[in-house]
Amino acid sequence: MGLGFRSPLRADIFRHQSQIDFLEITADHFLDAPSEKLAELELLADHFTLIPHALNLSLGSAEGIDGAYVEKLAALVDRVNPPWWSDHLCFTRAGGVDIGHLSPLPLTQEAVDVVCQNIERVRGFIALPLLLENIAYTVQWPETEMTEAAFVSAVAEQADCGLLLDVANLYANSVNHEFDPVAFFEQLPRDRIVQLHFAGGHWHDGILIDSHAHPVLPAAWELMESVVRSCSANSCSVRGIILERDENFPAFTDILAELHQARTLVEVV
Amino acid sequence: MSLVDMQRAIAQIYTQTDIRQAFFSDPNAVGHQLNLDDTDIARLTCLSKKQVEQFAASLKRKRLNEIRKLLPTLHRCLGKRFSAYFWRYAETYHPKGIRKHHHDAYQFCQFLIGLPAEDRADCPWLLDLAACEAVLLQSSRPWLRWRFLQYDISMLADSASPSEIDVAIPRRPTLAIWLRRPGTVVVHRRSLAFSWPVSASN
Repeated sequence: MGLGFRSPLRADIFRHQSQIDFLEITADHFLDAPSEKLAELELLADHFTLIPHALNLSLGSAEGIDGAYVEKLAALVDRVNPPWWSDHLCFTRAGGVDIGHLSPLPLTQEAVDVVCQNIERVRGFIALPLLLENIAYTVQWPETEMTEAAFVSAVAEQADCGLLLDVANLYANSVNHEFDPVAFFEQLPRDRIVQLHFAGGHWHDGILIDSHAHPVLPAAWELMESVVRSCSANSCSVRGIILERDENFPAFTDILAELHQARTLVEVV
Repeated sequence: MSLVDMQRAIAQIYTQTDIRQAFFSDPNAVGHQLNLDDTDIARLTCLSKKQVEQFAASLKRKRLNEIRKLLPTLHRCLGKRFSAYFWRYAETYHPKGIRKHHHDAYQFCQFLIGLPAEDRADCPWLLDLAACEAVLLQSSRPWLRWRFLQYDISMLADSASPSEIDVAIPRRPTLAIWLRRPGTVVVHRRSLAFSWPVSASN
């Protein structure tokens, strides 16, 4: 059971080190970083297993990957030497424009092929196992050749990579786009799910936002339980669960309580 | 579908209000300008305008949120005016790269510094404060900066809320010097205020 590392939480994380099994670091925060940030990375690496979680590989970009970015990411992964690392099933840039957030891909075989080609290129730089995370999305591409679950499965199988299932994103999408999240999860190749994310969200303008800035919603906890129960029953290879809290930090005891709740859920199931 | 062309087009539609509005008003004309063929234009036309607008708004809110964290004193001193200024600025610059939020914050400061006097009449100290915040976004390598200010910015830094700040802060010509020494994260600032305050009418 682990926590997404955020600098404001550093002191508390070290104070409660025994209750946190590993940390997930936002890779981009340590790329082109000032010396004090690199010193922080060294400190963390000396005390925790660190899992780099990248934001801007843009694996879904039909233009291909950014070689300069991948080289910097590879150096970070090499320094940290994690058991795996991750990024998202999305694109973040095109035509010289940085969109600024994770953007959904059309659910087509062409997009599957693009992602797989980009993953293959990345593997030339980073040999360690890559996990792909499902994103939360507002926009749905109108023409699809397959369901989202089939798309995720196709990429995972064709690229032979693992999955990072973000339960909060899945829940938000199921609410915003009206589908059954459990049915979605049941269609995924569960033997490829290596890590889970869970986080809080809030409503804005009629949309559930995966804000990572609020407590985990009760319905998201229910979905988490369903996922964990299904994984337990089906020999999933989940090796880590990360709580993401990016801002609006509560007392650290509240964060530990959510970690404890997740840990208890796993142990009971 | 040409995924390359579709992604290039949608990236511009997401991030640029004028292109987005023009596309939904006249998709054929704008689609061709974005190098899309008729089939791809037809596909993009089927996108939910509401969903695209919601996503585009969320991109700006995300930028605003990140800039707030990087410009805490400006955010605190301006209060609600911070967001208002940001929405005016947001279309003038589109950040990119690993340190895009820092670039965005720095460019926002430059935007505020460039505002005409009538646009900052209720916060005449804005130019000085934006300049000071921009200095703190400088490289982490050692540096020395100085700037002449019209207001003693330390009074802003010490005040607790926008309502306290809105009480007129006297003009006090000040020389501010910032120093970042090698091997330290601390930025030292010294202000040398001239011996008399200058009234606002001067």
